[in-house]
Amino acid sequence: MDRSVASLLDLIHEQYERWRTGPPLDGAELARFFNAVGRTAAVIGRSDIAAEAERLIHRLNGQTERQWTAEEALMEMAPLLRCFYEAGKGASAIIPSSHCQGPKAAVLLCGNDPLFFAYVRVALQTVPWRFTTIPSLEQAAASMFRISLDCIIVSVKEGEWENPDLAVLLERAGQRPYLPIVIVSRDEGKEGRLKGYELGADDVITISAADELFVRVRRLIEKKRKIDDLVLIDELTGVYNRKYLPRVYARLRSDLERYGVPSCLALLDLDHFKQVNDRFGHLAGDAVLQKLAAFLRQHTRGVDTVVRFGGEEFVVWLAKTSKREARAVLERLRRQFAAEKVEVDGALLSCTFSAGLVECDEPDRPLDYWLRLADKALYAAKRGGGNRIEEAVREENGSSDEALRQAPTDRRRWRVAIVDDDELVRMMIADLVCKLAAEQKREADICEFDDGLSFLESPFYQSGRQSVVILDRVMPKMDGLEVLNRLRQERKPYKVMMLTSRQDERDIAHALDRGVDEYVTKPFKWLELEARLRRLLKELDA
Amino acid sequence: MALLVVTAAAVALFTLLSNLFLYLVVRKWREKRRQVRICAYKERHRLGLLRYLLGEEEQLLLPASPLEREAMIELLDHFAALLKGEQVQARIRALAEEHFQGWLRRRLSSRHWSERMNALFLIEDLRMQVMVPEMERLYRSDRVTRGEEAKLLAIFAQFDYSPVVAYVLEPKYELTEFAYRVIFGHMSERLLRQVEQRFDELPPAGKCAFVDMIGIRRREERSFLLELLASDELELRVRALKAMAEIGMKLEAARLEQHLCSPYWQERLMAARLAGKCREERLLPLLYERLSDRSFVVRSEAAAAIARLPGGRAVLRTAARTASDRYARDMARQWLRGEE
Repeated sequence: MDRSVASLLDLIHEQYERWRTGPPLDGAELARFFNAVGRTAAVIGRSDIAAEAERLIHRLNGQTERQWTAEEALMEMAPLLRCFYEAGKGASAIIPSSHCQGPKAAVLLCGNDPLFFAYVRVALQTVPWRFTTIPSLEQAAASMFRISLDCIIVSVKEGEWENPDLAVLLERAGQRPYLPIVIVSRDEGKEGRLKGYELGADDVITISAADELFVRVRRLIEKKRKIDDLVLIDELTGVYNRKYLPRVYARLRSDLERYGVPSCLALLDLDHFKQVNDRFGHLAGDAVLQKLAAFLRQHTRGVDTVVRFGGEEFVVWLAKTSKREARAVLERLRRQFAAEKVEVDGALLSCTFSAGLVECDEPDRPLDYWLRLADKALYAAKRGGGNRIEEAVREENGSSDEALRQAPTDRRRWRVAIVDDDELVRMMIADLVCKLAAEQKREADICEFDDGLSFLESPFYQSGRQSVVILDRVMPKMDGLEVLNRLRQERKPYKVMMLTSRQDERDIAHALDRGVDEYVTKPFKWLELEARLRRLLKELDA
Repeated sequence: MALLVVTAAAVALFTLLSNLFLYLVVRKWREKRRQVRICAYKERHRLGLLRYLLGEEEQLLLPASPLEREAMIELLDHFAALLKGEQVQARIRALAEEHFQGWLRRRLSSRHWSERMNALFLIEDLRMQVMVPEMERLYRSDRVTRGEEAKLLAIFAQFDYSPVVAYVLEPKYELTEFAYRVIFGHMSERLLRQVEQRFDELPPAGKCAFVDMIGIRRREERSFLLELLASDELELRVRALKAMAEIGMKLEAARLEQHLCSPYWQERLMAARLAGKCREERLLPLLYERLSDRSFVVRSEAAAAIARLPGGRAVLRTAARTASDRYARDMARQWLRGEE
């Protein structure tokens, strides 16, 4: 870049910094500034810049009253910046018209060069890239693992090559599986470029070649995509990700075919993980995940495989292990992990996990089959209150497991509990449910209870199968809200409709807050009651 | 001789008592049997009745005995409380009017207070307008009691029966404020206007309840309330101010000042509450003065009002620091803390 043009850019940068720290500026001041830039540009022989400045001043005339923040002023002068970065030496526009699109990507812009970044943002408006700007290299290095990124563009000024923060940033980026780094520099010298490559940059672009930026960055992002597809390691926890599972299964299946030794697949899920995230934040959640992954790797054999299945679910695949042995191993892991502590911001957390276990002893089954069985067992473990291991139940005749087979027929029946102290109400609603069931050609199991306590003690409640519970708000012995609290606490899979004669809005909001699915007031509008009940029953099928 | 007399008396007393006991046992037994039979009937017929009321069935098995009739009307009453919607209510009313009119009429002219009162409740629940002439007769009779009067007038108000206006102005027995509230609460706007025109004829309790009802039912009676503010009666002024605060009616600063400086704390309290709703900055100095009122509730209400006005929080902050009166400073501080 021409020396004089570069110093004019520096001038603009300085002015921007002053605006940034000062109060909002008015249109007149901005116009004066553009005027000054235009005159200087004319003096150094850049009539294109001068003309653009003239145009900007003209545009400002329409809005003299307006107050500008530094950021707005910067965006306003984007066309001017475009002249600086593109029009030198007859360079072309940054995006060749033939390549207006590219892959979606998250790009981090870091370095103290707001003018260039403003130019990039505006020039690449049409490209589906999401930009994040962090001016400080140090901060960028610190936050790199918290945001998911596809590329980093670092702006480096002359004399900044030796900045230790730059080295740290590049080193950090190097620790990720693959994260392309592009350095943009005003330095035309070969030495700077070499230094950049040496530090680990994937590309070094000089400002005068800014028009090549889009194409070069896009190429790197596409390359990263391909590499990501090949990577089998989960970034956060360092164990395999689910893409690795088919390979594990292929290996264990051949063991089974050749030597007849089964393996055991266990699907693990952290208990109440959402609460950890909600209460302590996502960083704490990540720490717990890392802890579990490290713990599993450490306490399993070399031939076993640990895979992060997604979210807070892990697969532990124990090679050459029978169901009985696997159960013992998992019980041991469960006990030990419950005793482990994770430190988060000085607080000590302890977590438990539940697991569903299945013995893979039929080589003809696809991987999905085993995962589905393990998932069923895991669900049973969760339903049993968590912190436990459940084995998958399979029918001996081998067609498919019981749970899978029974589900569809079981689903044909609606299970409904009516908890109300008014006998007439129970009768009315039971009659309505029967009518709706007949309408859908279903059968309905209806249980009536005249107070909350007898409902909670009933086998209906304890079975914990999907059902609709119609609950009166005010009852003797145990209040409707209390019953609701209990069943929400125990995570029963019930759809709850609450009946009440209270019409207070706050009451209704309160009940909805506690997890009521429907709320109906007495006296009933019959058609409304019917419609709401129908909707709720239909949700049972979903 | 004396022994004989004593023995005879004892025997007589014993016979009397045992007869009484037997009578009570038998009565209880019969009552229980009656209840069991009523329950059984209700259980048998409730589904049929429900379907009939919902219009799903056109046939209804009518009660054949007095006992069944009683069971049926109990069921009907219960359904009336559980179901709303014009169609259902109309069907309930039609059924009641067709089959239970004679029975209810007999009950209304019963010698027993409880039977009459129960009949009134049923008429109210089932909204049996047909019974108005009978109720009118009861109201005019000498037998009517204070409780029945209140109930009758409340039902008349619900049924939008015009003569109720005259009855309310000159009740047979003095009505309590609560009774008036119930009656006015049920009255249609048309009837309320008629009462308003003859407001001066109302007894004091009625006046108070009437003014309260303006606030409760959010009736836009601005000029009426303004007139009341000039009343000589403290209670009416206080209630008018309260109603104004509830309907959110603005009052100019000069008039508010008059009430804010009243010698009665009740009036100052309500005036401060109203000032809080007016949201005018001009009121700030007036309310500021009230921060050092003699009465705690007025100070508190004034602080609440200031906090609501534009720029009020700043005033409270100043008061918390610089007010000369210690009570005013305390109150301002309390409010600032409450809001943080």
